[in-house]
Amino acid sequence: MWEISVGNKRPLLAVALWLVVLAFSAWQLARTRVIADLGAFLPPSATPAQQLLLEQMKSGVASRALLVALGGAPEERLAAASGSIAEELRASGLFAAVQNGGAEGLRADREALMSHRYVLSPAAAERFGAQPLRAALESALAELGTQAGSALRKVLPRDPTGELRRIAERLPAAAPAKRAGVWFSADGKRALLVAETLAGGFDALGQEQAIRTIREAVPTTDITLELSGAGVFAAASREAIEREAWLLSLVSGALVLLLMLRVYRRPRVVALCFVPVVSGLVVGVAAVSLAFGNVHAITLGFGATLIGEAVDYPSYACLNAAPGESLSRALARIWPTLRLAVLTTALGGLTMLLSSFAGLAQLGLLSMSGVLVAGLVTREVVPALAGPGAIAPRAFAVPSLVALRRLAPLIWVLAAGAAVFLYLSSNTLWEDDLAAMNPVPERLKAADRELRRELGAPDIRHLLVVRAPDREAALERAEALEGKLGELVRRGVLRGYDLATRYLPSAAEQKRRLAALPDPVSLRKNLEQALRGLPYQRGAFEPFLREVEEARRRGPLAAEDLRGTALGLKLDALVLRTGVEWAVLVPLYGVSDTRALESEVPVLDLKAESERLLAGYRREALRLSALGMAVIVLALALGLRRARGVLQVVLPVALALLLSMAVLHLVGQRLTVFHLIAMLLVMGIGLNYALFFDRPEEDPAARSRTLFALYVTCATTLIAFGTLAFSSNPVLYAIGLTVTVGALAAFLVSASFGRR
Amino acid sequence: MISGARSAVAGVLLTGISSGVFPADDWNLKTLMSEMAQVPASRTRFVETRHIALLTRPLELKGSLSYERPNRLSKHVQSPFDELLTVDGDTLTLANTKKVTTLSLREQPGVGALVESVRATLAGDLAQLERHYRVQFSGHRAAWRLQLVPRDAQVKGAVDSIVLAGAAARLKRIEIAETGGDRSVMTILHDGK
Repeated sequence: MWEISVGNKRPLLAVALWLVVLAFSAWQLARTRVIADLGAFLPPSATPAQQLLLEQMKSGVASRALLVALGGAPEERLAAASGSIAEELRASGLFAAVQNGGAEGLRADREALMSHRYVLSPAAAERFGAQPLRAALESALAELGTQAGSALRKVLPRDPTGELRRIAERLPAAAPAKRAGVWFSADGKRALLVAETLAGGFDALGQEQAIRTIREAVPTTDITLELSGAGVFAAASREAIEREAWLLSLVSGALVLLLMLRVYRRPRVVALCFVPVVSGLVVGVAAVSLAFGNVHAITLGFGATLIGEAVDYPSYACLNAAPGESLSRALARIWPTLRLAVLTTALGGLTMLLSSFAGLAQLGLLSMSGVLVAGLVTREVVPALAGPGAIAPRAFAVPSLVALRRLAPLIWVLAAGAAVFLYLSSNTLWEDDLAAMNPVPERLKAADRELRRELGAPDIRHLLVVRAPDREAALERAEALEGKLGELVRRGVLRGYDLATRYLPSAAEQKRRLAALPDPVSLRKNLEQALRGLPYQRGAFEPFLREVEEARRRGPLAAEDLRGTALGLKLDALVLRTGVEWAVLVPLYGVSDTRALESEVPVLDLKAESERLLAGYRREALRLSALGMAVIVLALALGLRRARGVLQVVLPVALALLLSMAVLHLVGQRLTVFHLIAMLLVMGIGLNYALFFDRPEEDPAARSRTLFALYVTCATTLIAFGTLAFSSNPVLYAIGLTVTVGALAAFLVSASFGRR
Repeated sequence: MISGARSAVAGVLLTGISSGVFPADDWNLKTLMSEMAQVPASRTRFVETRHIALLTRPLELKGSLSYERPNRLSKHVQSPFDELLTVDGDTLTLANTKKVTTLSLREQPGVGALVESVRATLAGDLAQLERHYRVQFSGHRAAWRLQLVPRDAQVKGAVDSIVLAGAAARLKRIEIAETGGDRSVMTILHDGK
């Protein structure tokens, strides 16, 4: 390739250009916004149903619910704390609603239901004839003396036919047990609250603020607070990611630094080795920030892995230098191999960049640009900085890997075994739970399941989605399902359902109900006839007559009338705008006969849909990986210019991939797209090993130097990715573990298959 | 709760001073309560007349009351309908022919206050009674009267006052005046004696 001589102006130019790019990148970095929106790592959606699913996961009401449990104190104190916390949270302005089972939270709802009872109750008017009124008044008379009677006495003059009670009975009641007036867990040890944030569930910063407010509202320190919900996950992951991104980068950087110092014993050379990696990181992050307008915290964490890769580039040259040889000369000698190594890794990144996941595309861009920059800096800048002096480190005794050659047959056997194992376990190989894609530690997820169970929040799996061009049409269609759903409940196909039109009937239905209400004169006449002979005071039911007339005059109830109540929230969750359409979601509870249900109504099975979503997404990842491999093999073919050489290099890597996949599954990993992506990294790293193991060397000394370089570079890779495997973040963990296992396998296989 | 002669004497002196009861009358709130506290259990019948503003004539309920130390109270209405109200600790159970409902006492301020007025009196637990009500004692051993006015704003919204009357350790009459003007008078019949 290019010969570098001291008189050449090229190194100077390269250094100048490098400094300019670095300066620009640093400027870009200073303005970079780091985000932690976990949604970036959820798959993009293909169908409207999947879109709905993901939107609900990201910002649906369920995702905005923070579940709160108070413990560690006697019941009475917990109940008091529950009340004061609820009050404080309601006053904070950060929550759309706070429910703790107390009367305070339900009053607004009862008021709303009561004042709109004649549009909410399906057939109130049928009970306004003289005969049905008489029957209602007689049964009320019998009930007035009972304990329930004291409550009845207050509402009877307004609502003699018991419409409020009818409406309330139709609302799904899934509330936990109450003690001391507020919600408690079944064992009575924890008071429970649900706080609905205004911020979306994946808005980590907004959720952090809401969580802080809850923590500060806890009155005394002996009361323990447990929090869960999507928002807690978002905030916790953000914190963990930020903390770990720094910590892991520092730890792996320090470990690699120690290794290099041990190998080179000259700080100047070690510093030189870090120049490409730091340049790659700075430019890579800046490129991501430029292209996406922000950098995801996970992307930053991933940057740590670049250290393990790019720090090797100058090492290959330094460690390959013959005694007395300058760095630029040694580099020129190995550049064809190194260039191919850089290119193949960058191509692996390119395929990630093509992913439709915003998060993965960021990782791809970072690794591609970072690796390319590190490669270029190694080639052009490092030699200029190193100067013409000899670079070679003191010779180390290197254990020969010749013995490994005997392992080649064993590797074939193992690979065959791995292939059979993977084929046999193909059912459980892939993760098909969408929740597992959410990078949330399992400990938090378990706590969440527990709290949800305590709160009696049903685990919704089946959903009806009613779509229409506008809100009213969607409501009317949903309303039309009532009869069929009721019949399915009677047949025992399902236990219950939550229909939004019970809180907000369609305008057309409301008008029908209002039109059916009798005029004041006939209603009075009916009432007087019904009251004949009953011991009610004269004029006792004037409020009833007045309110029926008011209902007739006021007209239909609008969604805005329910704002600020729990019902209003429910409505927001169940009636949504999706793009240009409106959708009414009808959650179905306790479905016992899926087939019977599906034959009657079009059901969206959330679990099946999320599995389909993941499968589609996996197909994309596999397609991209295949594409990546094809491109890499093509690049190899062009670089090596001989088919046998390509096979020589690709075969060990392919076997290593197979082995590491089997090992991962054997240790209990279910493969996700993150593992696939990591496999691309493994391929890049494995190809480096294979290329260098496969390098034709002039003499045994050079051969031994190459081998030593391989030891060092493999060690740095294992350090960087091994550190990442300690992350509590599932994404970083998956990548770290996969690459650690894969790199080790690639090293061993390449050593076994490499040239003597 | 008061036990032992010394504290009983101290109690007599204290209440004698604080409520300004004529010193010669040795029967007052404290002695009533300590006498009540001696009764381990009781079982009585009652007739309750409910005056409901909505109705032109009162409702009459009949049934039985029973109390067991320290905090179990039940009211069984047998006519004109069947309803059993049991309070044990903080748990209230309401059973009628159709269903059984269980709830926490503090959830229903009206019922809660009502229960506490009778239960704390039967238990002889003055502290508990005074926590919920301002208590005014009048009369003498053979005919005493306690007027209870709720302290809690929420209870005040439901109940104006409760008047308990009796003789010695026997509760004979409970009158409840509700804020809406409704009123109930319960006459308690002690069998045998």
